[in-house]
Amino acid sequence: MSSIDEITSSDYVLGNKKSLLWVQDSTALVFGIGAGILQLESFKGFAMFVVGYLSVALLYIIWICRLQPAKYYQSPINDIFIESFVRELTGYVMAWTFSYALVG
Amino acid sequence: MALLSTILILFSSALILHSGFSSHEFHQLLKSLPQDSHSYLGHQLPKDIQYEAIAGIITFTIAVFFSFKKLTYYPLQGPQKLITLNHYLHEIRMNKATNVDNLIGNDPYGEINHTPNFIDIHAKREETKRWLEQNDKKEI
Amino acid sequence: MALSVWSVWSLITAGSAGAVAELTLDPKLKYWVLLPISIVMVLTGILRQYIMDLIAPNTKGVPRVKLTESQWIYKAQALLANGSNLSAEAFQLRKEHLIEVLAGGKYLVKLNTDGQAPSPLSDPNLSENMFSMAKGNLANFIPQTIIMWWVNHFFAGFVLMKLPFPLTPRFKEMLQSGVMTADLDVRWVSSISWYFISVLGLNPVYNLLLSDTESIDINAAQQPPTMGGPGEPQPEAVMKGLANDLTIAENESCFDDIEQRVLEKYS
Repeated sequence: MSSIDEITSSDYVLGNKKSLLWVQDSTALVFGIGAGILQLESFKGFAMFVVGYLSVALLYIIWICRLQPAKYYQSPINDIFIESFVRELTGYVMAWTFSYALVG
Repeated sequence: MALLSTILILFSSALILHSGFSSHEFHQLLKSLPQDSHSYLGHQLPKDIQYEAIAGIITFTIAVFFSFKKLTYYPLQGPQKLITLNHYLHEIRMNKATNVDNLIGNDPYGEINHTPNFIDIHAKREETKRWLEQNDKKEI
Repeated sequence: MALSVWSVWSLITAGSAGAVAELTLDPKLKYWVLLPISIVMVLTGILRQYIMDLIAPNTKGVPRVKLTESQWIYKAQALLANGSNLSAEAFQLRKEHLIEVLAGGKYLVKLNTDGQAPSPLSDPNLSENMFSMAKGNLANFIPQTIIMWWVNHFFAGFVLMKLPFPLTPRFKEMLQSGVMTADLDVRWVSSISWYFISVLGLNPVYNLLLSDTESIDINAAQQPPTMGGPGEPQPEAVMKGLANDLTIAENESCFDDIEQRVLEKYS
């Protein structure tokens, strides 16, 4: 249950969150592998993560949410940008370290 | 769309693996050079390997986005054609989320609502009797 | 294998300065350490997921009398909150019926003779929840300990790889556990650091691999909330309080002066 404007919610909330999480997880891991292949160092690597994460989130809003994320997510900014940030960051670091070590 | 998505994922994996292998080979060669020579320090990864890796990443994200399908449903009345809605995700507000259910007359709690103990038998009998009388009148 | 790597490494770093020294490591080292640790952790994660599904508690039912009791309380609360939508007669009818029911204690559950709140161990609902939480914590804790022991036992004593990002020197003793040197940069780590990085970063991998099993405990979330547990206001007191509130409630129906408002709006 969210604010007083949204009197009701539905179990599609979970489904939408699941699909967003799937997009963010897969792209974070692949960006990590790419960062390792390109042998990016500390600052450039984190910058690539931030750029990739934000661009994937924006692309999600533009394409899948059709520029109206409030219709599909309660508190869209929190759900799309903030909630999975740490989780994707750690996944990115793991994939980055993995491919950096293997390729380097 | 889903087929295109699978093809693109395979293609992007091939790109990434190939660029990874190329990069690995490059760094092996780089290590075999003497450490202090001036040709060592300036060498970055060749441009084409970089572009290949970046292209692989971008293709992968596009493939992930292509894997979303627009929502569809079959209508009960009208032409029996698959109707494709224009959006990819289900809306969460209850009045919009139950839109398709209302259109096709589906009760998601039908198992509970229609258990025999919950149905008012007398009301149903009266309704059936009235309907039969009306039908008989029509036939006559 | 560890000895040969050690000797190669000691030869090379004998002549290097402190800061990011380029060590030459056996490339097979990485294949034989990174991949097995990752595979083992992913497999144990999947195994743990299946085991949690098997030992998860069943949906706990609530006796019907308890549900009836709490539903009557909700009915009174709903009437107090939304009574303005009813007409005056409808509100009055409901108010009188509810006062009679609540004050008379018609739907109260008969407690045990002592009437005290049941202790957590004896009440089957609460102990079930506690045990499931304990089982969940244990199921997470045991594999982590076992894998950490395994990594420290088999993959210790050598430098594995170079981290892409720098860290503060505090991490040195944690990440370079087998290799105690004073000069080596923190970026060169031993294999236990790969374990730590993996533990943090395997969540997306689990999500992608286990997309069919639900990791959230849906059963617990859908349990209907019941009144009356240790420390909560007992239903009897709540019912009496609600009966009092209802007797003094004044109804402001939305139908009062409705003609006046409609005329004002459209004139």
